Amino acid sequence: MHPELAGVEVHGTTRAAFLMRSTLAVAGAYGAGAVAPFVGRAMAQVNQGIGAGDIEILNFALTLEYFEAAYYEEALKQVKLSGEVKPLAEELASNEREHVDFLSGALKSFGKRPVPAPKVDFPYSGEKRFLSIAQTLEDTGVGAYNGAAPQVINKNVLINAGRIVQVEGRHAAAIRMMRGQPPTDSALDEALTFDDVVDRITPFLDTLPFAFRQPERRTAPVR
Amino acid sequence: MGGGSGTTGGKGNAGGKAARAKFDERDPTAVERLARDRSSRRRFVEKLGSTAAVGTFAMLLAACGQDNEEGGSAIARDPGKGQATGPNDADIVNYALTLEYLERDFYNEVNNRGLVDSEYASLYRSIEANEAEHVVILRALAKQLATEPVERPRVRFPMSTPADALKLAVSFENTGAGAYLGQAAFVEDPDVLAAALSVHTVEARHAAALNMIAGKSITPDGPFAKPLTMRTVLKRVKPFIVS
Repeated sequence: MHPELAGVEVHGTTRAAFLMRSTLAVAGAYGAGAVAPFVGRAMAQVNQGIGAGDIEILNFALTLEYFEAAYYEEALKQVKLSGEVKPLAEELASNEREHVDFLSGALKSFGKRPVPAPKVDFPYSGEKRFLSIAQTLEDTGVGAYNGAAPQVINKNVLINAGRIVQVEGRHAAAIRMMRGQPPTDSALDEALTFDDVVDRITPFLDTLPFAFRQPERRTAPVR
Repeated sequence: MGGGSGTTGGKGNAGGKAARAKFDERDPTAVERLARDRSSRRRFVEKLGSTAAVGTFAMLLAACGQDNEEGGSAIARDPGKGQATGPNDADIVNYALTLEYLERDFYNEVNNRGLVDSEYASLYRSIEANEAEHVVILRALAKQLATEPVERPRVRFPMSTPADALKLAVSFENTGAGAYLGQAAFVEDPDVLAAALSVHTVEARHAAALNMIAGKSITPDGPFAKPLTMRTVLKRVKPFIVS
């Protein structure tokens, strides 16, 4: 658990329980058919350069982008931000919304229904806290994309994930600079697993749209 | 849970000596982390004998003159265009290594000559330490790919004020980020890709921090960063490379 998130209310006891509950919540809302393809994901991959793993990654990324977009959009309504921070929050909100639209569009272009936005619950107070949580979210976003990239099979998915993660890294650095922190803690950014990512954002989630399954690393070049 | 790897605490803005000391400590760690990465050894062994060394910048320029720009945002567009015979992983690693040498030597000179406003001195030292670590990592990667790491280029930077240095720093970092992004889809080995991406976002972080200081947009390309081809990148850095 990230230290920043300690003390924040966690909805749920164990991650497994949390995932099961959110899966069932989706089943309730959308019917079991919406969940089954993810829970019992067949190993067979669609033979068109886009695999089930890529769809899973796109949906996972979409969830994170929904999450980040909601964070900034709500903060702009709820938190009194200074003249220095507000324009940055507006820019980040706009970027994250574009990422949401792009990833949704990509999934639709592959004939897949994008996951619905997760229900979120952010403990806003003042600007200081806003920046602190923003740093956690952006750093987590960077690690999430970096961690998933070696599993991507489709070349265009990989390229566009790269185009997004670079922007997430830039966001993270800008937030850190606003806080008087160095832009990075390390010469190498982390590569996070799905589980790592879910652990870090769980404190702010009411429900996750589905139970994500980490794809295997690819064993052949992207295509 | 959740990535203790890599982070060494958030107080990286310490003075120069502290930053260097920390770098020295972390240096082998990062390489070890790469070296023990799952299944990488097997893959690298399989690659033995499949690669050739790139000796100098001129040879690199010749080897990497391809134009593999991938633009646009049509994610489902037909992939694979324009990359019939691109560079192999070893070429890409040596290309990245050349850029990291350039950046490291640049910050080293800037810091030694004091071409930095005092409020950013620790930031510049921490960036120099990051770039030096990238050099070590890429050299290790080249060796794991059974390739001789490319030689360090001889460089020359026309600068005499902190403003000159900042302008160059902004250019190098934004170019560097675009350079990594431009190669991501062409890296064959997922382990090399993972390492390259972990460096890529650090270059992006540097770029954003320097852009902020320079009063530029943190995201000059908007919500989607632009990949740069080897050709574009090498053209941009060529003026600073003597040989």
